[in-house]
Amino acid sequence: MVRLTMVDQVHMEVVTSSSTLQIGDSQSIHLLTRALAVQKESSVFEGNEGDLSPFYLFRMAIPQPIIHEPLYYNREDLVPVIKVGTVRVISAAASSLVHIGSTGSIEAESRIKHFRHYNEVPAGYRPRPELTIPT
Amino acid sequence: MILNVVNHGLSIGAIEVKGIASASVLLIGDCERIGTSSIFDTPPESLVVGTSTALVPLAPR
Repeated sequence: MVRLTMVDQVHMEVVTSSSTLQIGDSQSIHLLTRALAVQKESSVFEGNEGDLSPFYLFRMAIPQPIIHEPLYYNREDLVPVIKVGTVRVISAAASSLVHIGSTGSIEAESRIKHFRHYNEVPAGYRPRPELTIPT
Repeated sequence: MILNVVNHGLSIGAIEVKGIASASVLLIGDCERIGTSSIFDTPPESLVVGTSTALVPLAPR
């Protein structure tokens, strides 16, 4: 058995990019975001940018923890209620989750590749002597 | 491993969070299993200079 969750008030401003605000119990939640974050000095876009396939980051396997020993788990709910007065969250972004209630399993993944695009070489910028390009 | 959990009363007045981002979780309740992973990459190679509108001239295909 899981505990009951009681929340009086929830205030949330923003939920974006594969994020979820879940009110109530759930069984399984899976969140996935893949994003190219681009900061451009001049906001000129041709519309064909944004191909994720050249970047290894979006297909590499993320190492997961290995559990070596079996877990024997006992729980006793002397008070089967979780009480919260007010929850105030400004934003949930990029595969994040706000969950009020109990759940079985949560799986969240976020992969973001960030670019800075200048028109001219920014002041104080020194390129590295040996530039290796990841594949 | 043997894990014994006794849940006594849990009562909270207010929770205030500014931001939850990149595969993070705010959970008010019980959960069996949580797995979260996040990659954020901004290497020097991702600095692009020039008026070209091409997104990533340096990226190998």
